[in-house]
Amino acid sequence: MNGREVIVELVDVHKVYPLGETEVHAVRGVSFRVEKGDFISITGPSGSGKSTILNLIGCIDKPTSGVVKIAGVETGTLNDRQLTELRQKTLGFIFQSFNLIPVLDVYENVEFPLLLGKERPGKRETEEWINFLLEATGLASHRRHKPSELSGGQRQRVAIARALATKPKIVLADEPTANLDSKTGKAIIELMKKLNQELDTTFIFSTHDPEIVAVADHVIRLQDGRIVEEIRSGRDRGPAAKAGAPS
Amino acid sequence: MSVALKIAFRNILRHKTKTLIVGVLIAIGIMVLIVGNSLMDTAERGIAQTYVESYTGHLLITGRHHGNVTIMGLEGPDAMDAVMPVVPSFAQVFEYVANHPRVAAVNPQATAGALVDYEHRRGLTQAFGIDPEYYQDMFPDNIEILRGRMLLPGEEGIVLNEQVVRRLERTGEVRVQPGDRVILTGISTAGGVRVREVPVRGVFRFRHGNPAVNFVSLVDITNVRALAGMKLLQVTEAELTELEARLLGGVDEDELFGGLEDSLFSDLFADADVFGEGAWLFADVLDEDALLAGFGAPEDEPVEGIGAVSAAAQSDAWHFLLVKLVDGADPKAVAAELEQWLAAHGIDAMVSDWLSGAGAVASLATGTKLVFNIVVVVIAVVAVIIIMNTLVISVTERTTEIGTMRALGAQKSFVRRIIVWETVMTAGLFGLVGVAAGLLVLLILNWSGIEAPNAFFEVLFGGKVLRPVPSLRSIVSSLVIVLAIGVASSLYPVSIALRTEPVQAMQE
Repeated sequence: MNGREVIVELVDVHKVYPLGETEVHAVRGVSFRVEKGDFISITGPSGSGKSTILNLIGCIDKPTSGVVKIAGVETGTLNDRQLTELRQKTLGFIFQSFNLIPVLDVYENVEFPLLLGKERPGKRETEEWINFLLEATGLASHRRHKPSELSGGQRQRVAIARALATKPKIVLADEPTANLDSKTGKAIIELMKKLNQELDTTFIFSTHDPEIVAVADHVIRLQDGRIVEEIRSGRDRGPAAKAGAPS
Repeated sequence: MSVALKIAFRNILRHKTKTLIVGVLIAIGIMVLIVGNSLMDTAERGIAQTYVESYTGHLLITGRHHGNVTIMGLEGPDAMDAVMPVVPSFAQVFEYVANHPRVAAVNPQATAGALVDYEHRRGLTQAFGIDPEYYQDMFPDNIEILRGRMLLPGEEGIVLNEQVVRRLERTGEVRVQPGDRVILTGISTAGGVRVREVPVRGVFRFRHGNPAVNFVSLVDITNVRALAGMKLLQVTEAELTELEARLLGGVDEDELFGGLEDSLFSDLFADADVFGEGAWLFADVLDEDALLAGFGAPEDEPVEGIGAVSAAAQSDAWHFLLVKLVDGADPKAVAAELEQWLAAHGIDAMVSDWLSGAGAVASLATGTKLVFNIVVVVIAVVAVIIIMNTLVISVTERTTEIGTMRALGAQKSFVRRIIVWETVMTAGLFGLVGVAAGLLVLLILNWSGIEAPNAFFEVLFGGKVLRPVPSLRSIVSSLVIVLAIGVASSLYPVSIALRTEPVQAMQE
């Protein structure tokens, strides 16, 4: 290890789903660590347990056994309210199908997670930060558009901006390019990588796409619920945060 | 505007068709509620006002009894067998009640059902035994004299109801005139058959009559007591016809029941009047006990103001003491106070409200309202089911959306707020539309008036025409009901929404 902060830690995690009278072992004794600022890809074939691990890290599912620690907090000890609070403060989500709220426009969608917290930043500060995110994702001119008026790529950009709105330590992306054409998918990955470097936000995403895997500096390869390969590339990280960006 | 409210509002606009279906149902329901409740309230007020102002006053004091005692007498299947109770310790009760600071007027009254015979015509009347002074003081404007005049204080006689006279005169061959005499026959299992001949003093009609009271005639209390088999308080000399004099005078038992051929009955059997239609001969005119009990009625000290007790009112045998209260007095509070006083003085009497005294007919409005309320409950349940189903579909369609909100950090309370806001806004908005539509319908009905198609509705409407006025109570209660429907409808959909796990955001 290189002494950087461990932001995610899984220790001997198992996840078993009941399926009728049988059980499906989605994850079998997985252990790994993610360091702050990682751009990590969890990859593997369908049914290998990628999404399950992402859900466990995202605190939207609980392990059958083992320990999941997010930003030093063991999630198994938290109740629903505390888990929700942890998600709101610490995690950002990017979904395969974008999952924007259809009745809110671009600006409101990005602002949405900020309005869910107990401690809300001031109105001006919020506006500046959302404008920065919209600029960064190339959506400044679409701020009052409804999701239905945007292309798939634009919707995923909104989802990225929304995932970063609360300045989370970790952004989780579940196959973020699966519903996009390859050109748009590549652009989205480049955007995520750029924001990862500029904001020092940890990105964890599941994907099948080898092109995306190639960009990652930490790759976890799964098969049948087990880690079969873990690769850490020595990368040169960019500045911790973009100069002038609100902290 | 909070983000939950914003999302709820935009969701309503987004699902226009669903919103419209639910909304129209709510609006119609509220309209029915407003119109129905206002109709009921107007009718109820009409009946209450009519009875309180014209027949019952606010409260009735009666002797303790089981079953229904109304100003018309006993009601129910045992009415013929039971004895109508009198107010015990009447003079004491009268004095206390008449001088009570929240009592505006009192009216002692008794009642007896009677057949009316006049010139071989027969009718039926409910005789209200009254003291005219107290009666007119309590109900100053409730009758209109059509012929003759009202009874005078202390005077014997009857003021016949127009409807009774109409029956007696139906063939057009006779006309009842003041000064004529009618035969009143009271019949009951308890009191036997009692007959009185009474001079007609006038003919009247109730200004706010209805089929239930249109056969009531006003009679001096002495005759009503006799008809009802109550204790007799006064003896009057009967004016006998020649035939009656022959029958009752100068005969002894031997003569009466001796040889049939030359007995009194030989003449009687020849006289069809005695046994023909309208025969009244074998009635028990006066019984001995009653005669004896009537002598020596107490002479109490007269009391000032409305409490001044006339000779008739001081007499013991009255079925009711009707009580009218001063404006603003709470009948329930006064009734409780009177009950307490009666109990403290060991007087076995009861205090009832006007509705109990008015009897089954006036209870019709209350009964109808009950039926209407049951209909309202049914409508409400149907509305809840329809709205709930629509919301359940709406929530199920938004599982991913709700899961996404939860994944992004929305607490369950946030999701609940959205669903409840959606329901309450829909119910509130269309509820107001329903209120407006209801008021419009009432305005039209008030302008046009609803004519009572028959006697049943006349009673129900408290008159011949009902002009419903919107009541604030009905508007407020309707809005409360619609909001309750809204909240009740959202409970199940909310529970479904709250069961939505954030992981469902991933399950597109």
